[in-house]
Amino acid sequence: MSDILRGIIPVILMVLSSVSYAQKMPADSVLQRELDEMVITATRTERHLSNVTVPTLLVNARSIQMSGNLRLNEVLQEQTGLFLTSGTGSTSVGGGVFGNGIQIQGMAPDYTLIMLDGEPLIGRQGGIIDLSRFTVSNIRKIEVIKGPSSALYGSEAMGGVVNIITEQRRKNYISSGIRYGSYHTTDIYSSANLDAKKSTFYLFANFNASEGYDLNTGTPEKTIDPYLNGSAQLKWTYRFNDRTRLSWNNRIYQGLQSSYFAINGNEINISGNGITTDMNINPVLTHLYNDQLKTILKLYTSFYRYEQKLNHIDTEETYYADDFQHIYLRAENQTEWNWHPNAQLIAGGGYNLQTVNTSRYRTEKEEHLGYAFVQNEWKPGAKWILIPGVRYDINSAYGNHFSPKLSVQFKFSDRTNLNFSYGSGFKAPDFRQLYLYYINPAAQGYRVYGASEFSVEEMEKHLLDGLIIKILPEAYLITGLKPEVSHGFNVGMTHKYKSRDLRMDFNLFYNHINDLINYLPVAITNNNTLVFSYMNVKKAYTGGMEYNISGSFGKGFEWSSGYQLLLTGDQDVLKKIFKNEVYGRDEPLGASRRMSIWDYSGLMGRSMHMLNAKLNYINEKGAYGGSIRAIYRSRWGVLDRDGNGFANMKEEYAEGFLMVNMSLQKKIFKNLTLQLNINNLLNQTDALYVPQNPGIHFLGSLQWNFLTK
Amino acid sequence: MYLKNILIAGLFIVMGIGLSSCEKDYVPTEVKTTDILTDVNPQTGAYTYFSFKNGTVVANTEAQTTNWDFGVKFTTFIVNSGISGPGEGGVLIQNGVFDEILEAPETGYLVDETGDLAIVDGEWYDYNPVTHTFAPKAGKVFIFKTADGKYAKMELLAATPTDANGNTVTPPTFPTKIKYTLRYAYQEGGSRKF
Repeated sequence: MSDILRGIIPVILMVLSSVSYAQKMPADSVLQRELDEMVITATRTERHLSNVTVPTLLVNARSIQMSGNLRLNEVLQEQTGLFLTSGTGSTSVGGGVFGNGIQIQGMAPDYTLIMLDGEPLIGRQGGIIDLSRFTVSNIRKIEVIKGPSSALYGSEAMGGVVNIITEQRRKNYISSGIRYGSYHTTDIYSSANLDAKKSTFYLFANFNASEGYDLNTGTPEKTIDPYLNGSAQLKWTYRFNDRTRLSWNNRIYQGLQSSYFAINGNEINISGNGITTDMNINPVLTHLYNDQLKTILKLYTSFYRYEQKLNHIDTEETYYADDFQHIYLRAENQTEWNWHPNAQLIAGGGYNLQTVNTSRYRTEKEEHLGYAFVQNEWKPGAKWILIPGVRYDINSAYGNHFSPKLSVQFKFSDRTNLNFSYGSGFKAPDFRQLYLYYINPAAQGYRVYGASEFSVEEMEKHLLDGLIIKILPEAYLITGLKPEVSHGFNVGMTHKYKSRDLRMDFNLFYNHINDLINYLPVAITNNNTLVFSYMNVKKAYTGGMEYNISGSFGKGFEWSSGYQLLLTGDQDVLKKIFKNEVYGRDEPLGASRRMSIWDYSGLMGRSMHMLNAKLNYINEKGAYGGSIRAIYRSRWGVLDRDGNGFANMKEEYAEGFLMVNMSLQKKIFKNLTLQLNINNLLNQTDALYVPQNPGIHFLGSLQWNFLTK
Repeated sequence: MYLKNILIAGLFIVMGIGLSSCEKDYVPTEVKTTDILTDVNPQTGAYTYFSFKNGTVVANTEAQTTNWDFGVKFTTFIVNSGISGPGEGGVLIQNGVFDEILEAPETGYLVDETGDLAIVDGEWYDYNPVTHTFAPKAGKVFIFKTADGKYAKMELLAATPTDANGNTVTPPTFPTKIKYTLRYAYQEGGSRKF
């Protein structure tokens, strides 16, 4: 597709959406959307969406069902401002394929907290929680908070929080689905919800497999190798009485990803598997003392393991093996006290123990964390909501950290809210940055030491035994790592038009990040290769604006459109550009020239523009319907071919793309729905930078819902 | 008047001699671009030796001669001087635009010493341990004093992983060679001007 067409299509989408926006919505629309849904993630307690003071995105089960998407990454990439990243790792170096994470407000996936029913998920590979690990068939809704939320959730909640809320209702039903499509993609799920007087059970199981696909037949490897995985969930809620409730949530996931590749470039000579196991046990006891006082006790255990073994096919010798195990234990209490008719105080604290064991660390590592938080929601008059909050973390690895926040809502009118929020975010130095002890087995022989494993004394010793030939000045600056810290500001407006089904929100955001951790060379070995370690060195910012607009028309039509403009940068690079100290090349083999501020494209991996448009239709009786969704993402930097730290030549970018997905569904019997999905209608592929996106592909599904109560 | 004319004539002659002595060893330089292949293995690999005068790679058997100016093995550069060779070479790296550097500095050339090579590894490239690629930094101009005391300036344009024959390879295939694309100008006359 030509560049011009790429440029025009988003414009057409915008025009189309504004045309439909001009349509008047008939009052008798069968699809009365819940206009004021409840969300929990923004304040740790249930609130109407209209009373939430921070940018919040809500994806409900119905839109997930209509989209026909199977995995969480597919759902999230269709939302405004959420960029799906593909792993930077390559199987050849044993790093594993890191999978798909998301950027929020331009912050990398490492800086995004992913929660399942309010509890943090672990199992980051290369900093990324692979979102394709999660089926969406058991999801009731997904809440996404954009902007720093560390005052509530602590480390990682810097770019934002994704909270996956799973199903459980006070109803009896059984639901099942089977789907099959291109590349032998198979997905089967089954769920049952049993509601008794005192207990409610929810059972869920999912199986998912695919043969993978090949986008580049010129290489011996497939783009995505075959995989299969399964997950199961058991949720049990027991009501002791009206005031006391225990909910017990267990989940297990196991996935197998095969790998076949050629290290000689000609034919497949390495093969093996990576097995991921992910388990969560999450008991929550809720007690209501009276209308004013409620307390919640949570004990959370999570286990994650990734075992990878790769062998030479001919000799059966091990090529690479790793076994990464992470255990996370947490006890937390949260108490909510309505101490005044217009004020609610939420206070809590917890203790968290984590251990990690891998061949890439010298020994098993553990980390202890204690924390306390407090938040007061205050409504001085009918027009204002004011929420200050703080959290204090005491960590065995990096010391103490203080995270404040303040958010304000002003109800300008019944239909218009103005929101302002400031929040501080932080990300604790991760295990890798602290404890990695890695010596590259390949010929290059470079080494990477986590900041806690690196010592100048050891380097000086190696200077004497000849292993190290030179210690660089930076080595003397390595000390304990501090958390990376951000300060985020959001100013926004939400507006509901007179026709009740039309609404718009607009938000400006700016995040300033200090003490970013980066690796840098600290010594030179006798092979003349480098020793790397980590340091808090960089400053960066992400900023931009976002808008969303949605409405409905006709009988059963719903539409929405969203756009995000994103500008990012590294302060140090900018300073150097102003001093005329930055050079770059205009083409891969071109001569160097001085870079000006106009050549600067900001941080790698960020698209300046992102646009989506969606149209859903479901007929009056719900007998048939469909949806069409378009996502556009402008180009983003992927390579640095001239060592200046940013993308400035065409060859350093991945091309922008437009993806169009479609689904059609029809009820064929009373409880049976047939659905057909055609994804990536325009057949846009990029084997290198968007490997998770196959060309045009099809999926057919049968879903059976049996509801008794 | 006669004397004055003689004086003026004499002045011209002196100036002429002066000028021509200045111009004598300046030869207009030509900017050339070439590729050289080097071993990727820093332990078992061999240096690739390059001569600015010939504009070509020199055989390894000539390592102990002054027929080469610099050598490279993976990312390690050596110059024909000190511990590395019998020549009177040296090198310094200047930050700047290749075309704007019109004269080599008079002093400041480093020679290879034990444990302290003239070109520090990592000074001129950016290594990414995640993707295992490295890129020569733009704006790093290597100014060489050649083995026989002439001057050359050089810029590395690319470091491309290749197989033994110089064909580009991409991960997960391991490269056996690195192909450096270099752009250089050699002042054969002995002047410091390019």
